[in-house]
Amino acid sequence: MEQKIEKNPEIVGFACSFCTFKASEMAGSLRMKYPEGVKLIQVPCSSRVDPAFVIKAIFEGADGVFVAGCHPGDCHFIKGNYFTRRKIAALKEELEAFGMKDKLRLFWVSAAEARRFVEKVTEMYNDIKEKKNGR
Amino acid sequence: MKTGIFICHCGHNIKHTVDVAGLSEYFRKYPQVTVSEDYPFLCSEPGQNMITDSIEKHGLDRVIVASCAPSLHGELFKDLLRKKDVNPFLLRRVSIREHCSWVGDDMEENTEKAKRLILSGLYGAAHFIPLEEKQVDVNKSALVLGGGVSGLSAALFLSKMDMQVYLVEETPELGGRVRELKSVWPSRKNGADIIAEMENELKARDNVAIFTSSKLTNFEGFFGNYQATIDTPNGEKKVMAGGVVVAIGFTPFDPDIKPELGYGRDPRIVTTLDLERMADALKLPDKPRVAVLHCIGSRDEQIGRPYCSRICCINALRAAEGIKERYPDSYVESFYMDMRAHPRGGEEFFEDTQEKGVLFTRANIAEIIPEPEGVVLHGEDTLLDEVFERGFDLVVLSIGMSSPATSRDIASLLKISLDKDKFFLEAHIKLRPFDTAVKGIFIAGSCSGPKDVEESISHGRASALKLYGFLNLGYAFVDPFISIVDPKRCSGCRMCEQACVAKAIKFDEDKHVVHVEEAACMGCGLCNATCPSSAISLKGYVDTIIGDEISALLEAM
Repeated sequence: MEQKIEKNPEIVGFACSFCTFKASEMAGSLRMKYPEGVKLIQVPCSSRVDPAFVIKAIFEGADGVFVAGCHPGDCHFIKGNYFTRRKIAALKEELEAFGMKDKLRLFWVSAAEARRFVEKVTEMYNDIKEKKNGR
Repeated sequence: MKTGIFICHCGHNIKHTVDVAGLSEYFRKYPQVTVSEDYPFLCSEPGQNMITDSIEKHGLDRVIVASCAPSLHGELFKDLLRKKDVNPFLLRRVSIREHCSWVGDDMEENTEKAKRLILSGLYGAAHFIPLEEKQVDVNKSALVLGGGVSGLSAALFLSKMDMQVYLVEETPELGGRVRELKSVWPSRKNGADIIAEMENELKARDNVAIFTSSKLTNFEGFFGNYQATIDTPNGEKKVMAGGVVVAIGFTPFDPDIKPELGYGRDPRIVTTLDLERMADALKLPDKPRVAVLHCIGSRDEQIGRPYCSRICCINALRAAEGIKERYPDSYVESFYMDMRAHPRGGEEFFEDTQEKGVLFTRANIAEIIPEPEGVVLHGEDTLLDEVFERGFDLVVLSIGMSSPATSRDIASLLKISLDKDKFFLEAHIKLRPFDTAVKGIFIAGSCSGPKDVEESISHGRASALKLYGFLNLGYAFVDPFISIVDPKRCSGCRMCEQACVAKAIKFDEDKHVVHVEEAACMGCGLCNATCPSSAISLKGYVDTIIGDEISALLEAM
């Protein structure tokens, strides 16, 4: 039987520099492991993420995009993440029309939650990998 | 444009899973790149010299440093550019250690990831423009929150360094928890005496304002010029402070959270703090049977306190010893999980206590049941694997530390982070243990995790010293990452004005465009993402930078 080649997904994440990016730094310092396919772009606040960035990333070949910010109520800029939440919800609805809803995820990770960051990105990576390899 | 790429080996940390030599070779051939080098330690002096020499030799105007996370050595590399008269905001840090070599094991995959990360730095940096750092004067004054032992030591230090100090304490008295302690480890001095000494010294100084029974109610501004509103018994006070030391201490663990301990239902079940308070009034039979329980409210996943409180083993030992001293014929049994008598002299003290006749049993206590003839402990001896039931005349619970009750309020006022146990989170666990993520705000004492008195005092002084170092310069640079409006593109729809949390965007009725008030802008970039005409952009994170970073990460150029 012919061996199927495993396809590894590419995931682009937008990480708030006050929480998720800090958590990812901590995950590194603690030598936690997550797939190489996950790559981050640092933004000052999750609300800086223009929906156009997400669409651009998907158009340019990202299999998944995530936006990660501080937990509701914890935003360094007071309520930037509430704007993010609404924007991403609206964008998800539009993506659904193209059958691409699963490519976008939004989650909250505080600066202390290195483990949660690793769990979230690994879970997303594995889900998308399964779909990509037609399982 | 002349770009230099410098890739750090970080000894073995990056080199062992990333082919650094191959990468620098790859980028050397890249058309936009003038210089590409790899070096064992870029942060070392020869490493720094290599960068400055290259800037001078090739006239570089973009510097990409691929090394550790950008929060480390940030100013160090910026200074190299400043030294050579290159705008420091033309530097791009790429994290290939925390985000690449440490999180993956596969050499080939890691090298590819590092390549893409550097590439995104390279493409992003192409759109960098020189930014101007605005110099502002700083207020040589400090706000100290909490009048416990660490807050007092911070306030004293700052005051001696000629800083105006505002000390805010919630309770009517200074001294916090240490005031209640009869003998403080390891000097065995009376806690009240230690506090009195510090308090008198502080009150004699004329550059200290002490607000007791007061609370911080509002906090705004930026490093060097924070405005704090304090609710005092004499009405509201507004003060200007250059920086803040947060030293709000801890809350003793409340044993009611574990009802199986029976605390509060019987006077024979007391905490170590109760014992300290009532030591002289304690009435026990001639040959009392006393149990001392360790780890109450510590190392307990079920109640959400998985951490070690660090002070309770020594407290438990002191309680056991105290009883043995007062009643030489007593039977004292200590139930522990693991003995962690870590402070200075703790291990020797543990041995002394054993020699004095205190029994130590490694056990888990399941339940404490008060009966008329004695308090019965149900538990399991974890060394013998046996279940036991034993009666005692007094049960002492060695309680641990919980996060301060107001930590969440203070964190949201000051915009600093909490860790998972709701203590304050430091900026970096090893390299910046006193800083928070917000410039000019420092943490001291037990509010950043359990500490004993000795550690709290040194932590307080260290934080004060760090703050002094920042403020003593007399000036500070404000981050230039603020929004800017292109009036030609602005349609005057005012969507950004509604979105802006900082109220930094103002509408000009005559010209029908908006403008940004620089001092008020916090730099979140929400307006940038909101504007339908792309007329407003956040410096340093403009659309083209992030857009090209995305393309480079996906190699879709």
